[in-house]
Amino acid sequence: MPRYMVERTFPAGLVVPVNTEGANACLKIVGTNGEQGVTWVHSYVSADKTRSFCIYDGPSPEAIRQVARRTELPVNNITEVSVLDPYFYH
Amino acid sequence: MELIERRHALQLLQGAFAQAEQGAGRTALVCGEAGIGKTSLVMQLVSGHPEARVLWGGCEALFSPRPLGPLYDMAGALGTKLQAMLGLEGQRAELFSALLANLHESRGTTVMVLEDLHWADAATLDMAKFLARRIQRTRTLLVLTFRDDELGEQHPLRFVLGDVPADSVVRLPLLPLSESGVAELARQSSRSAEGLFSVTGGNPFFVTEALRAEGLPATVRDAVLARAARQPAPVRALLDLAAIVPARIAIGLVDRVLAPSQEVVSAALASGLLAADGRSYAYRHELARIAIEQALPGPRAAALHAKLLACLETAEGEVELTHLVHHAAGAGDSAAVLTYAQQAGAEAVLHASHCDAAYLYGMALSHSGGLDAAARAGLLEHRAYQCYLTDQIDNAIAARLSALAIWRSLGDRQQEGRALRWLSRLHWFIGRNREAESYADQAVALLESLPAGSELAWALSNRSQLHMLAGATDDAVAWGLRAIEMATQQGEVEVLTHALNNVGAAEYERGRAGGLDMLERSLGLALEHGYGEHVGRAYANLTSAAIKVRDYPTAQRLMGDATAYFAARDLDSWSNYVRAWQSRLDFERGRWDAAATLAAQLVTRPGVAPVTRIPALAVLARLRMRRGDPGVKELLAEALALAQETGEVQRIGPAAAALAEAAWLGHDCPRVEVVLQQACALAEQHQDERALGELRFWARRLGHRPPDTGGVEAAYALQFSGPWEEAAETWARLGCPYERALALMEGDEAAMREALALFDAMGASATAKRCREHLRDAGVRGVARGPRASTSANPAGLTAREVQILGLLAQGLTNAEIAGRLVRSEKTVDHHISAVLRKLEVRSRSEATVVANRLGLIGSG
Repeated sequence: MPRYMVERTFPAGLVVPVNTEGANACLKIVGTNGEQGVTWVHSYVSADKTRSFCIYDGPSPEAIRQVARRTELPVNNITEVSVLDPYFYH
Repeated sequence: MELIERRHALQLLQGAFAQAEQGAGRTALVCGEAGIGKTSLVMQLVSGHPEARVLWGGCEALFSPRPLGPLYDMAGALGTKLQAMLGLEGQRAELFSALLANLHESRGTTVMVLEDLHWADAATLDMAKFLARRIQRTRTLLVLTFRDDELGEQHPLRFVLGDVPADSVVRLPLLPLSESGVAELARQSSRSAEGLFSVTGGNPFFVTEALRAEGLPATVRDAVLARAARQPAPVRALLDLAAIVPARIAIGLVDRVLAPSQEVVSAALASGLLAADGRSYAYRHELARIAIEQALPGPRAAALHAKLLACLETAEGEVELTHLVHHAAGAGDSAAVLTYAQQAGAEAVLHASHCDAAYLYGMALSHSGGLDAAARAGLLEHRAYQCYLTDQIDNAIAARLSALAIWRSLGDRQQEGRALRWLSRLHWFIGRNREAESYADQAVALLESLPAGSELAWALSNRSQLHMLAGATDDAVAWGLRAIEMATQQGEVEVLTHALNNVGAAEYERGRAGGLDMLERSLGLALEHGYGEHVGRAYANLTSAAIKVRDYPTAQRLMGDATAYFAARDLDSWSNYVRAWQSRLDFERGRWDAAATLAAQLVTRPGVAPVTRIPALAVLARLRMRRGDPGVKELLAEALALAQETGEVQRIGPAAAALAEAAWLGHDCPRVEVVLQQACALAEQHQDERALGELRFWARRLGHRPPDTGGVEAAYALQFSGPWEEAAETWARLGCPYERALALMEGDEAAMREALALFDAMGASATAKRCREHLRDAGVRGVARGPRASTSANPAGLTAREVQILGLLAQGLTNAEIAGRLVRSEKTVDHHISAVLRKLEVRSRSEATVVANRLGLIGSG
């Protein structure tokens, strides 16, 4: 399954509280993703919390966009990526 | 007795049964290698529910299985109405519906078991698919068992399994027993478990056989044969006879062939190899039967088959034709194979088991040495038609060519012309258009030299069809009208239906008056006379032509009718073709999410025909390139390659335009200039205004050469030479938001800014980026480098409340009325409306309504 980096913009800042509410919000997204065979691997968030870079596994860019619509997450850009591990070359 | 290590599988099966009991029907897929215990598991479930109605049918390992064999097995339990229908010819759709109705109306819970589907005939597979898709609303647990390790990549059962609705299916793959499970079985038989697991691999049937053997057999076959070898000769004779009949052999038949004494029968049953159910004997397991059958010396097997054949031929009552074929082939009796395979083929046709019919006719052909030439040619044509219906086009062509040679040697010119016409159709099917053209011309030339008959009318209509598909409108009309005239004179309704379709489609897709009427007349005739293939073609041509002339409302209406017709009959290849055009319709009207979902389904689905794949690939490629998503290149390459093989402008045009758009959006497309030139030339040649307009538009955008303005559809003509406002207005009226934005891009600064806002709102981020460059090149200041911050889920980033207010606004309500409707203050509504206008980047309420309509933000209209 291809891996994608999904770039998102949150003008008001992305806030996921570290409590049950935050955990539930994440789990809800994970559940919706699952319906289309999409897996949220993890994300990097900019220091000002207005942008995120999310690593996803999924069958196609369309599947990523479809679940994003259902979870009401913005999508700016989708890029297909692969892992490069600098220490692998030792 | 409790099954070893099957508790979890049984629980799942029980769960599915419980849901079925509640009225939520389920399909259970029980699979695993031979001898793994599929039947035992299902028996265990059934024995726990004596109150349930059980319908049990199995498929047999015959050369060619009996159409709907499992349904005959269960006919007794289905009531007289269904039994009567089973005997009727060609009533399959009605039969399946009646079966479903029977399940619906049944008060208690039904367990319907279709066993060994890896051996199923095509009609049984269609039945399984039909039921599985509709089982949810019945109180039925549909159990399908099969050996998943014996299914090749292209096994038709795979397509059935792939189509079972995911929310109503439970999968039960059965695994071999563990080492401790095998040890437990050994303990129950008071035998040593030493070496048992490693030899049997945990296969329950093998384990049981091995436990009954003396010593440890190396294979399951050895275990069975060792047991049979211990039997005295008369018992062995009975076992041998039962072994050459798949599944089970009627007791009456055994008595007539062998007349075994009671002691012999008792000994055979006591051996544990054979079982009896009062009417027939059956091996306890197919694996055992096959082991014995394969061990029979050839001449002995042939002699047994011959004896059985003779008995069956003189038997009273109904004898299954497929059994006669089976034994005739086993006996090496060519004359009998020829006779029965032809009869069984005809029977398969009546059940719409076209794959099996093709196989049976092929079998008859390989035993047709004694047949005279004309009869052999007729048989070849039967086989060719069945192959054509089942996508075995190469075999169909081979059979037609052999028939052609025979007709030529016999000097039968009418039949020769007919064969040529068929060869034309078949070559078109596999995209070999040049040969198709040549055969079509030969057929017409030959038949025109003979007295006019229906064959000539067919040849003329075929000629017309090829011209229509290639986009050669005038030729299609001229040839088609001749066919229509001749068919009318001769009263040949089927040819008339065919020819009306060709002429109608050719004229309609060029926007000429009368075309739509003709097509609808063809559809009416096809529906009235039940010409399934022509109904399919009429719907397909109607919808595709309506989209080509951008008559979107008509296309949408027909699409609904077509989908309903195909779905009710499980005509998947037609239904897929129309779905591909639906995705193009959604794509052109700016409903991109719907378009993407449909196109992606078709692109990933196996076994989809090229003519269906091409539009789906092109739509998906263009959506990805506009959104800036990855995966454009592969889709484009495949779409172009497939389209070019067909040589047809209706396939090449959209693929070439997609390639050009990719080049415009910055993808590396080295061949784009050549591809565009060739496609333009083809569109010019066929005066395809729509394709030509789009291709020239992109050629112009890429700066290849200034295009002629003539011969293109009105909206593009305006775009090339008229005021941009009118072009944009025309696109808006047609309902094509993306094209409208492209037209606005050629306008003044305000128009260019509106175009940019539209691209952003559609989520076309790559196009928006290109548009920004265009704005900067034009010297427009203050254009942000990136998209505005929120390209969110909802195209324009509106909140749910804002969408709601936009809807009311579009209905013409004032702010005060909206406030009243939502029980909010007018001031709050004012605030929301300014937010809506800002987000849509428009200045007025009316403009907001237009943009909202275009983006599909309001309602579902």
